[in-house]
Formats: sequence, structure tokens, C-alpha cells
Amino acid sequence: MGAVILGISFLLIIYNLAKSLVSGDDAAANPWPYSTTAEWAVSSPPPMENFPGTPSYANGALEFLGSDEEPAMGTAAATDGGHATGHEEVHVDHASIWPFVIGLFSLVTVIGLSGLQLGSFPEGLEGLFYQATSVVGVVGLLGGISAMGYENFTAHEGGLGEAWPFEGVENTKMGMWVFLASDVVLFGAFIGAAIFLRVAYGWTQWNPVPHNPIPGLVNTYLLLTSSFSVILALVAAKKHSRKGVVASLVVTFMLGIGFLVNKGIEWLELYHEGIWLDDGVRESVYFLTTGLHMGHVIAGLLVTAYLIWRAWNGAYIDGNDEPLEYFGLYWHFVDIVWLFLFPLFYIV
Amino acid sequence: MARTKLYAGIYVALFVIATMQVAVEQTGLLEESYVLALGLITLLSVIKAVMVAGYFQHLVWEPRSLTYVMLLGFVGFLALTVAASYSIQ
Repeated sequence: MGAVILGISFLLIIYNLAKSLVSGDDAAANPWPYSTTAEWAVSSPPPMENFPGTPSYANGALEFLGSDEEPAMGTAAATDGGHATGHEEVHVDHASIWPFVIGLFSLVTVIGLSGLQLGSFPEGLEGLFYQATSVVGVVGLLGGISAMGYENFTAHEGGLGEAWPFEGVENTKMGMWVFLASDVVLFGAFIGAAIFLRVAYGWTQWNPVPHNPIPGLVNTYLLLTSSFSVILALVAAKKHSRKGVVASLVVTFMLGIGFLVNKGIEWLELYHEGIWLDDGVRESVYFLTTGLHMGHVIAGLLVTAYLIWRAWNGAYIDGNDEPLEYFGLYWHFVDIVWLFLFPLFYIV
Repeated sequence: MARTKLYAGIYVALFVIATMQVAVEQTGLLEESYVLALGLITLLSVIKAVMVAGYFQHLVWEPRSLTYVMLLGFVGFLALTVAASYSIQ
């Protein structure tokens, strides 16, 4: 009964909306004669740049700085937070179809993947539909992301990285650190889940999935050494040694491959013993968390391969060694994560 | 670059500490006194992580604010894990 009344009340609202839409006068952009706030200064539908300048209430009423009164730069600069120089012809461009396309194909992908239950798609025509939808979704998603990447746009200069409290930290490096902080949260969620589940299970009744910590220790050695070789690559770049950079990166790459091979052997062995992802919560947590880490190692190796190719052609030794340093930040982070995964999943 | 020696020293220290962690397990301390061994292994991991972040990732030479950005993520992890685990204890 309550639902029916609620439903009828909604019909009333929809009627009202439809009626106002088709008949009656158009409302003015601002129905309030005494409104003083910025949202009423925008016409409907909003134009590309909402405001003709930077909104400010510094003198007690709404005004737009840097719009027509360019000569009044003295007051504008004082109230503008020090960005008075950024006003020349920067028209931030936000009209792009691609975010919408990406959203659309995300939905298509999710619909397709929703058919993936219990590790496989259903049989027959239904399965075909889900598989085809997944493929169309992923292809469209990749296409949309690529198209957005190729689109030209203008934007305000960032400079956030170099402002307080990050003086002297270059923008890209700042971005790298923010990304790493987000990755801390990602791994934190997985490790936190592992700890939580183990506490729920009974901490001391929960034995590590691998029987022997030694392969894990070997992998720790491999990652530590590869971290060190990335550092050496940076040192070699500062010494302008192309050979040194290439050699250090190749060593890093080989050590990463060694890590993956070692891990693969370990997983295969567990698989042959009949231990796999879906055996229980203990196994799931182990395979998923170390698998996520392995994915990070693989991504790092792809970047390493690219860096080797660039270094071979003489990059990074001319003082522009930032890519090496920023990749190092990522690679060391992957190393740090392993320093916690190793004891948690192999020793204690 | 005088730092190469420093990096090498840290690398050796990391290698040794990783070995010590397994030694704690192999010597049977984990069976004898689990909490002590767990605490020791965790402490060693934290020391290693701080060394890598501080020197390999150059955090000691960067503005301290970058360290805080990373700590923010870590504190989020700690808060969630401790709160969730505590709630079911």
C-alpha cells in the first residue's frame, strides 16, 4: 500500500515536470532578483567556460577577475592567489565525446563479463552473446582510451607539484608519488584482507601456503638485486655511460624474469599438488595477493624493456634521466611490497 | 658519485636482513615463541622497507611532505586492517 502511494506521488511529479516542459513560459536564468552567489550568474544551459573570469567575493560582491578589466591588474593580482600571470588566452577545453564513449563501453564490458560465472561462460548461444559482448566492450574501451589520448586539448599549467608543500618536486615525480600512494592503498586492501581473514580463521592455525620459504627468499634476493641494479642504471646515467645504463637495465630485466620463472615454478608445483586458487580462503588470499604483485612485476618489466630500447639509442645520458628515476621509484615500491608479502605468506 | 658506496652498503644490509628473517624461522624460534618471532620478522621487514624508501627512492633527500603522502596511504591501510580485525576478535 505504501509503495502504491509512493508510486502515485512520483507520477504526480513526472506529470508536473512534463507539463512544465511542454506548456507555460520559459523560466529566466535567474529567478531571484537579489541573488548574489556565483551559481545564478551562469546562464542555462551553461556555456563552455562557466564564468567570464575567476569569481571573487573579495570586495563584498560577486565579480569576475581577469575578464574585461585587464588594466585593473593590480587588484586582480592581489586577490588572485598569485596566479595573475595565467590569464592570457587559456581556454580550458572540456568538450570531448571520449569520456562518454569510455563510460558506454565500460558498461558493455561489464554486461559481457557478468556472464562469466564460476570461472567460465555459459554454453551455447547465451555464452556466445556474453563472450562477444565482452570482446566488443574491451575493444571499444581500449579504442576510447586511445582516442582520448590522441585528442588535442589545452589545459591550465599544473605546477601543483612544485608548489607548497612540495617545493622542488617536479610535476611528473609528484604524480608518480601520488600513484604510488594509491598503490599502497591497493596493496593495503589485499594485505589487510589477508590479515583480517587470518585473524578470523585463527592466526596460528593458518599455515603459509608454500611449504618452504626458500624459493620466496630467492625471489627476495632477486628483487633486492634488481632494485640495486636500477639504482646503478641511474648512477651510470649521471656518469653519461650508455653502456652502464643498458647493462644495468638488462640485469634488472633478467632478474625480473628470474623472479617470474621462480614464481611460476612454485605455482605450478602447488597446482600439481592440487592446491589452487579456489581451494579455500587461505589459498585464494595467497594466489590473489602474490598474483597482484606479479602483475606489477610484469608491468615493470614491460617498462624496463622500453627503457632498454631507449637507452640503447642513447637516451638518459644527456642529463634527462628522469624517466629512469621515476621508473626506479615504481620498481623499488614493488620491491617494498614484496618485503612484506614474503614474510606474511612464506614465513609466519 | 659518492653515493654508489652508500647504495651498495644498503643493498648488502637488505640482503642480510632478508636472510635473517628466514633464519628466525629455520632456527625454530617461530615454534618456541611465536609472538616474539612474529614481532622480530615484522620489525625486520619495516627496517628494510624504510631503507629502500629512504635511500633507493631518495625520500631522505626529498621534502618531508612526500614521505607524509606515502605515510597517509600506509595509515589508511593500518586503520582499516586493525579496525576490521579488532571488530571480529
